[in-house]
Amino acid sequence: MKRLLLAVPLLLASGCATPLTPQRVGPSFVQVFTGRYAEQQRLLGRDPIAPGSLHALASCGRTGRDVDGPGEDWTCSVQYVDLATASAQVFELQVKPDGCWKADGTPATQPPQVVDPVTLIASTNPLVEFDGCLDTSW
Amino acid sequence: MKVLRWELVRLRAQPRIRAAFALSLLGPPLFALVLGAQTGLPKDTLFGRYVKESGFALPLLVLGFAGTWVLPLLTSVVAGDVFATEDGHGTWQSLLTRSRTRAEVFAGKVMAAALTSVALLSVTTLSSLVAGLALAGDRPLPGLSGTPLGLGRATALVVASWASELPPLLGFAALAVLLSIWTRSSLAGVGGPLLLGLVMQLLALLGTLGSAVNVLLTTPFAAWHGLVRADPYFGPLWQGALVSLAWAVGCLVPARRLLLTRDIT
Amino acid sequence: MAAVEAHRLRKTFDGLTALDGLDLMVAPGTVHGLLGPNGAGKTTLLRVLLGLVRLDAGECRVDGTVGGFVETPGAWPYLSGRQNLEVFAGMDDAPGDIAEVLERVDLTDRADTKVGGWSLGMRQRLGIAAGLLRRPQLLVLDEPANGLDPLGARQLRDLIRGLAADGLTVLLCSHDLTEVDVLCEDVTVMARGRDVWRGPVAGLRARPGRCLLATSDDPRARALAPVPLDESESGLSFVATTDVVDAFVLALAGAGIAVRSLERESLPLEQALRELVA
Repeated sequence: MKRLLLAVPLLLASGCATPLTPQRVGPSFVQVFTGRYAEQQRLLGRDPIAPGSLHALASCGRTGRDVDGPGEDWTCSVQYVDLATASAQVFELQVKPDGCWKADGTPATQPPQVVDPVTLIASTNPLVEFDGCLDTSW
Repeated sequence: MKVLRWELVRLRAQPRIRAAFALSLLGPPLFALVLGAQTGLPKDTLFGRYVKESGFALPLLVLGFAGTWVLPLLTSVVAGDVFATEDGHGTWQSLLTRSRTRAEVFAGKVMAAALTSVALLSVTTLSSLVAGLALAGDRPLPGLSGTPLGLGRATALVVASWASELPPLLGFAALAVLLSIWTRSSLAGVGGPLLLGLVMQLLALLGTLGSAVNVLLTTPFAAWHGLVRADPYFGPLWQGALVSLAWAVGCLVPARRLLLTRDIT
Repeated sequence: MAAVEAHRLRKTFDGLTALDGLDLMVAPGTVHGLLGPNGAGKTTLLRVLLGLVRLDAGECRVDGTVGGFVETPGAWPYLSGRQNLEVFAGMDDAPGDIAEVLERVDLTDRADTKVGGWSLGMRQRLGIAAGLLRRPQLLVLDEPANGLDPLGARQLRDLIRGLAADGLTVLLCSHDLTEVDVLCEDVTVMARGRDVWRGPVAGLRARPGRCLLATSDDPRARALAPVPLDESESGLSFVATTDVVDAFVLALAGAGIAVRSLERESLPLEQALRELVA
């Protein structure tokens, strides 16, 4: 009985690939990034922009030996178009086994706070750090 | 259902059940007080970074933490004790020499444990939502899809997220019932599910199981991740419900058999 | 119709035989004693009657409902005595009156305090109350005088007598031979999972007992003895039933020998029991 109980997870492990692949982390990251970007622009005093209008694309991968799976060595480089200008940024990602990830913007491109130039209201920059999750069900 | 009714009467008077309700009622506000007094934010847990921006973040932060540790504990305190307590107090002989059959006693006690677990979950939900709103007000919550969720939608999603913990919660209750009947010890009935939950979490944390983690009873506790967003996905929810159901049936069937055939000595 | 009729009961726990072909017959409306050393299977028998233990083999028929307890009756310490009984009554189809059973076991005054602080004697009485609440035809009591002071034990005896007078059948398992002697009409003696003797208590007392006899002429008395005599410093020593002793004394008198003293060496019940279970 005990052997059987041990065998079940091992068997499943050998037969079940991880859902945490670059092909799935990428779209999840893009969706949250564009949402947070729109929020950042709102805090900067701009009129609302639709996340879809940014035409963002991301390429995600691990810098280490592994290609997929959870880990702290994920990066996503994202390209988008705003105000007729194409931009690119790189974020470091921690991808956790439960399918959720945390993205960190580099301090050079993402300051801790953003300030509305008119009202001078300072807020936490939504792009400094942000979280997302992807569907890991079968 | 007479057994259910009187089991609830008994549970209501039991000190450790009262303690569990006190914990679920007072835990979230105390947590909010501690957070309010600190300058740092618990950023390592989902929504931790938003607890001072939106009142809807705290109930989800509590959920992320509670879903893995506190909820199995709360339900085990009830379900892991509900049978073994009669061994501890020597009350089986008084209970089983009445008009109710053992099958009726089993059904009544399981239902009482389930209802009490649901009540504990509801109290924790309300308490953490109120504590969150008191801490940070009802400003929109940044969802897991990146865009802000407004008052009505955020409230509905917080409640739905907590409700999505029900299947694994009841799965753990069934596991606790089995251990409670099998070992006849409250300690094993309460501690056993916690330990098994810990083992399952560690297995999932190893990250080597791939999508096989979906058969673990702890995985459905995270199914709410798919809900708190502008475009919810329900795959983990349905799958979690099925997995929890399988665990519950797999535990309750042998548990019932054990109780029906055991000698009370 | 018998209140309890059991044939060839067998029960083994993990290789240990608790009941080994036991027969039991209890007449309705009587107080029936159950005697025997520890490990004789008395408690297992009571558990079988209460439906707590499943038999391996044999047939057990009880007329009507059974109430009572084995060993120490349980109660929830965080509920009051009355609340404990309320929960038990809630699981019965036609329970008795809680106030009435509390009165009967003399717990009315303390009924609303939590059982956690109660003495063993009070818990024993609460156990009896829980059994009575079932309105049983058969009440099973396992060492009910355990933990009771002499006054409490006497009150318990009065209670059991009163219950029997109301037509209830009582099966009383006890180490206290005096209790069995004064309360029980019939008795079953158990040893090693079997019934070794059953019948009226008077019959148990009438079994052969050791007697010490001193006469005016021991050598002649010796010649008249109907049973073999053992040497004894203080006179004649022999084992005989009451009938035989009576006949011997009359024969001595007929032969002109005076009986100076005649005493039983120990309580006849205890001695009979010792011999039966040996």
